[in-house]
Amino acid sequence: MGLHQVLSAIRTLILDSEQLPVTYDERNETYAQWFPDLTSAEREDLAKIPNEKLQIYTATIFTGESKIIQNHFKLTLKALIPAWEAVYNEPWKRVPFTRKIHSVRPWKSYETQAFVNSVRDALCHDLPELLQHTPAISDFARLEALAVEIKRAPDIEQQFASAVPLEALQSFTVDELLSLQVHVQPASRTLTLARDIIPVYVAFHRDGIEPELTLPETETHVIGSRTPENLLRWTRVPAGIANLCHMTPDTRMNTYAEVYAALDSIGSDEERFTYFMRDLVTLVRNNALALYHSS
Amino acid sequence: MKNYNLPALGGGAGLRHAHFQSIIDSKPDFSWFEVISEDFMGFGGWEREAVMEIKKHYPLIGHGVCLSVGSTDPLDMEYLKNLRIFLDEIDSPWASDHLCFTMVDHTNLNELIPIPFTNEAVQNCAERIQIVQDVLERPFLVENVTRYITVSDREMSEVEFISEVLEKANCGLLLDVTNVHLNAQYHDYDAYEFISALPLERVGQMHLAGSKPLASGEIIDSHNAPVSKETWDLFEHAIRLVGNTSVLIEWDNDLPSVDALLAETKLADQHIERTLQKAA
Repeated sequence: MGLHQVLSAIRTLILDSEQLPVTYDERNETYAQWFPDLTSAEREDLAKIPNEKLQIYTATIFTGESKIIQNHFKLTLKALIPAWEAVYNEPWKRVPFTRKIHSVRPWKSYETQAFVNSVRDALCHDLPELLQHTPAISDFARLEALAVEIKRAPDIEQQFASAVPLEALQSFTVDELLSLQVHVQPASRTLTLARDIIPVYVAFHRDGIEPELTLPETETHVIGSRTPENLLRWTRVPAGIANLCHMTPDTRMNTYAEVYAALDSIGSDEERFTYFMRDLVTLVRNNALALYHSS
Repeated sequence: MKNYNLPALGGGAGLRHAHFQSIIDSKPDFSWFEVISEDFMGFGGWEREAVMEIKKHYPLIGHGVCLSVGSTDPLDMEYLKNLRIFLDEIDSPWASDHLCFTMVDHTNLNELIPIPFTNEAVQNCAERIQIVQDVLERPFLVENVTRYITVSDREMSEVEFISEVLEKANCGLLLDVTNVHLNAQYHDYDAYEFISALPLERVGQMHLAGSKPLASGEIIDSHNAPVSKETWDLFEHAIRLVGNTSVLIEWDNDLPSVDALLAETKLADQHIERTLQKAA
């Protein structure tokens, strides 16, 4: 019929067919049912391909994808593997697991981030039995997927004048403070988690401490950022700050007053101001935000 | 036309993340590096900084693995735009990718899958490569892939297929000598005759790699060992026919030390020099 049908059939044979017919005649017959758009010559060509040769591709593809998963979801796997073994009563193996991910969320782009996001989405939405066993898998997967994005976020040329250093704030008057503008740095990302897994994440990735997997539900807002030294930082923030940062494109500034107003759910003025200054300093230090004089 | 009018850089190596810091710190005597474009294009952060630092000291050549010139999915123009930007940033004098498909039905197979050797596939590849060359605005080479399967050779042989694509697309060939050596074993043909039959005036670069046998004894193109004696011999045959070129040592798994990798590139230089001296 045509090139597209042939390539599409090869994709199916390599990625989606766990059991291929053994003999040439069986394959020819089966492929006629599976790929009715192929001509008889095209079908015969495909039937001539020995299964074990096609399966070299199957093995290298899923092994390659599983390496990406093992590289980027180290903490998630610490939670997932015991959950898998408890739920399915079988040892977790990386290639069958990767095939399962592929079956529900195939990789749809050349970008590694797209694959990482597919794995995240499969774990958060398509394997409910695992989440029922260990609900924190969802938070771990979302945080680790976001970490990949932050580490590789493009370096966007800063279009603003030079930032106000934190040390300068101490000498500012209230009016000067209120006239400052706040810029969300291009590599910053916000995330709302169902559990506060930040201490677990940091202890695991920094110190190699085995993660606690039964964590209480506590809605937690975090801003992830990349420092000038290219280190990943997570800062817990109130919901208002997270929302404001999430909604602000990196091409625009918020005024200091807007950032302050985002904290309106927090108690007294004094508490609010203390919170504001503490969070702001941390976020600037972590390169999530930058401060500028208004132009 | 010698080496497709491209500079012959001699032995070079694939730039891999695990070697970045060592290369930045000690600036070993590599002649050039090949960079997997998709590992860096559109990225920021440390990886990008490292590549840009290395670029200050070595020529970098962009080599892709995801262009999917053999696919029937529409060409990803966003990808091509990002590739062009990246190639400009690293001042890559030419670019290359594989004569195969990696995506179809908008699904990434994350592997270099061979295409049928048919007239329709020739036409499809040639049209896509022409667009790629228009966007990238620099010489573009396609690489012959390792293939464990023959999808179809009813209409033409592999060497005829490659030659037709190169001619119709008017592009260059990145001759992977190891892939010819392995394919000759898999499909029972003479590797020397295969290379001799290619349009060698279109060769602008070569690849070499080594493979450890699997536990089953089977050898796949695993890029995890020194280049074998048989492949060096075939490489000398190719150099006799093509002349001096840029030849890359591909090593992606079980990475050696930077020094061992450098030694392998120097060995490539020695093979080139010896072969050209004999031919003179």
